[in-house]
Amino acid sequence: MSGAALAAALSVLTVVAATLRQGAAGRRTRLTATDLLVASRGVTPLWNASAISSEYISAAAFLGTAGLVLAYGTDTLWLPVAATGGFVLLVAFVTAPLRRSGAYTISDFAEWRLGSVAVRRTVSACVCFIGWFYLLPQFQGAGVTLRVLTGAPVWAGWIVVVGVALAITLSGGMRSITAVQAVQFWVKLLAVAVPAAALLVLWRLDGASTPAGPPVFARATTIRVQTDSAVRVSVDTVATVSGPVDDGRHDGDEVVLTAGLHRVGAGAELLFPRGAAVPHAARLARTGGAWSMPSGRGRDHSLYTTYSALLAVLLGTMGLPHILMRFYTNTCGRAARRTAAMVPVLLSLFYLFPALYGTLGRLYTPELLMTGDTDATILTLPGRLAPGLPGSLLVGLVAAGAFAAFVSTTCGVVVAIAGTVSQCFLRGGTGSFRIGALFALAVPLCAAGAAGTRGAAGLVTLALTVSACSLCPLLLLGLWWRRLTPLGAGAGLAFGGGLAVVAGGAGLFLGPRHGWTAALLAQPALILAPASLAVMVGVSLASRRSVPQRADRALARMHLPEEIVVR
Amino acid sequence: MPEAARAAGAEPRRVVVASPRTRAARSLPVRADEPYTGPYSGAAGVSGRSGPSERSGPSGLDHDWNIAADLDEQTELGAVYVRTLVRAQLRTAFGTGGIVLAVVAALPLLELASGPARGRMLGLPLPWLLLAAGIQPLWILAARRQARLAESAEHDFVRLVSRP
Repeated sequence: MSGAALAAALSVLTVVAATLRQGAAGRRTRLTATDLLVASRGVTPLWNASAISSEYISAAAFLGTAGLVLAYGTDTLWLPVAATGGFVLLVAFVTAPLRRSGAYTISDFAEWRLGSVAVRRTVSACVCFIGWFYLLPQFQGAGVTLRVLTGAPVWAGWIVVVGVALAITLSGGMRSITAVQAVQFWVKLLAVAVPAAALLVLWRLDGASTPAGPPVFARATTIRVQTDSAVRVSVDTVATVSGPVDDGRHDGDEVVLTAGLHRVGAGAELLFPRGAAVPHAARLARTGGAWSMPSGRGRDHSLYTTYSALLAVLLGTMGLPHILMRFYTNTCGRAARRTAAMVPVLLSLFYLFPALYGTLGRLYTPELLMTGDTDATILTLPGRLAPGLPGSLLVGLVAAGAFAAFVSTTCGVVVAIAGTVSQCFLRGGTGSFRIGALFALAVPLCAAGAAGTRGAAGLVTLALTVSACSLCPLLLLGLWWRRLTPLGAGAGLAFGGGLAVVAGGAGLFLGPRHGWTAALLAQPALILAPASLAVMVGVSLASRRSVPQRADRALARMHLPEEIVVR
Repeated sequence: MPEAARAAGAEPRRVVVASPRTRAARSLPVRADEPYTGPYSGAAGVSGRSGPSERSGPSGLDHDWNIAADLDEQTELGAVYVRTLVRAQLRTAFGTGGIVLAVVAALPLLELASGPARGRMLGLPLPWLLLAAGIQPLWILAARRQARLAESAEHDFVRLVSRP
């Protein structure tokens, strides 16, 4: 694995250096707050769509989707389907009117539309929470990537991502980031597509079997356990064990692992023979035999959780602050709409590959189910199918793409938070933008430890849930409904956003639970998002005397094409 | 694609919006092909913009009346026009939203209904193919359709407003 680690390290360095150089190229000699904040105009829709897709393809999309497919099967592909569907809703409801409002951040929009500083503050708080939840999986992904490739501790990955993101955002701001993001989309696509093509060829040569039934080891496999963990064994399995397993220490003994839960200590090595059933990390929900069939996962209230997660991803995509800011780069509402309509094309192209990796991972890297590092599927697979130098090169390529994903999403989110915080709480200026950027990174860095071993895809759903319950209703009503009042918007934001943040925090810090409380805490969107919309409408109707005077004018400006000039 | 991209990336073309009466009034003092510099030059505006202060010209008559001015000044008529446009756009958006929600809602149900029966295509399980590559083209088409419909509604509106 050292060859792969070397290749990976080199490629990561290349990505980081290229990003920094590109960032520096777009930098002006004197930085002002406007330079940092105002995006360069005249970016074509395709270019901007690449940048948007790049920001959207985070660690969750890059590593998490493949991990989910490996662990839970095809039904988790619903999430990328919903994510792409979210952009269709964005085209329909948000982009053009939002661009025409002329607001740069969503906080600007809220203040302009409702004329209330209090609402602006509430929106800014929501932006911060969404961003922080969104940064967690990026850190997590970087930590897993570095650990799997080099054996470095998890926090090393966090530090790398934070350092690079700080360097980029502080040096160039949005101007360079548009270019960086757009290029990085194509880097990421190449980084998954080239190894995938190679893997497909190897898979064909290997007999082109498809995974069916419970996963088994395709060859004798040694697993080195890095942290104390619990594993679930489905049928009695014989393994050669060195190190602490259950209550005894073993030294190369043959041990029968009976069906049930077992504790495996750090440093233990287990050798499983060919054809043995793969034990699963206990924290992964039990995966059934019907893997390639969706709905194969045995969770509590799985239909509710499935729908709730789908709705969170669908609606949450509409309210992601760092994505919404991107449309400001377009020259007019029409261009913004065309840009958004191009994003599903790019995302569909990209999402083909994680699905492929997850499926092949089921065949070739089933031991990740036992170690629980399912997020590492994409990184481990090339080395497994193509040992030696070619495999190392492919791993290096994938690692470069993964780091591009962490860095680009982190930068986008940091710029969004820093811009919002500096304008709302610190009264603008380059200095406060920098303080904002530090603030944006510091909070999730402190919370990253609590994220523990959760998968990137699960973490990103937290962010999308908060967005779906707070900013999404605000945008829908603010853009289309004349009678929204500041009080209604504030009440809805506080209710939906507040409860979603509480649920997300409880999920992070309180540990696993069971039954309906667990389902509701893990996926509250199906109930909270409509409820928050209803609160906004209800309170607005109750406080109808305070409909902003400029509501008609604002609606005209947001919906009239630019050819008709309205002040 | 680059062609369309370039077209959309450019600044929007500004249309001078004026009613026949405005044009008649404007063409009175000078020849039509010369730039007009008369008393109403600020009124109809080069960009179709007209404001209350500019409208109180020497005559005080409604020579420069047009829909753009109504839109700008938020008269009852202008508001009706805007509301019509917003409603039409919202109808299109709801259509697209309905498609998206229906497809997403159908996914888990479809899988529940189809049960363990599984087909294969190109050696791959059918559900896998459907989810990995089958739904996404639908999104692409829906997004394009939505963008096209919304644009044509705007186009029609601009034509309506600038109709002679």
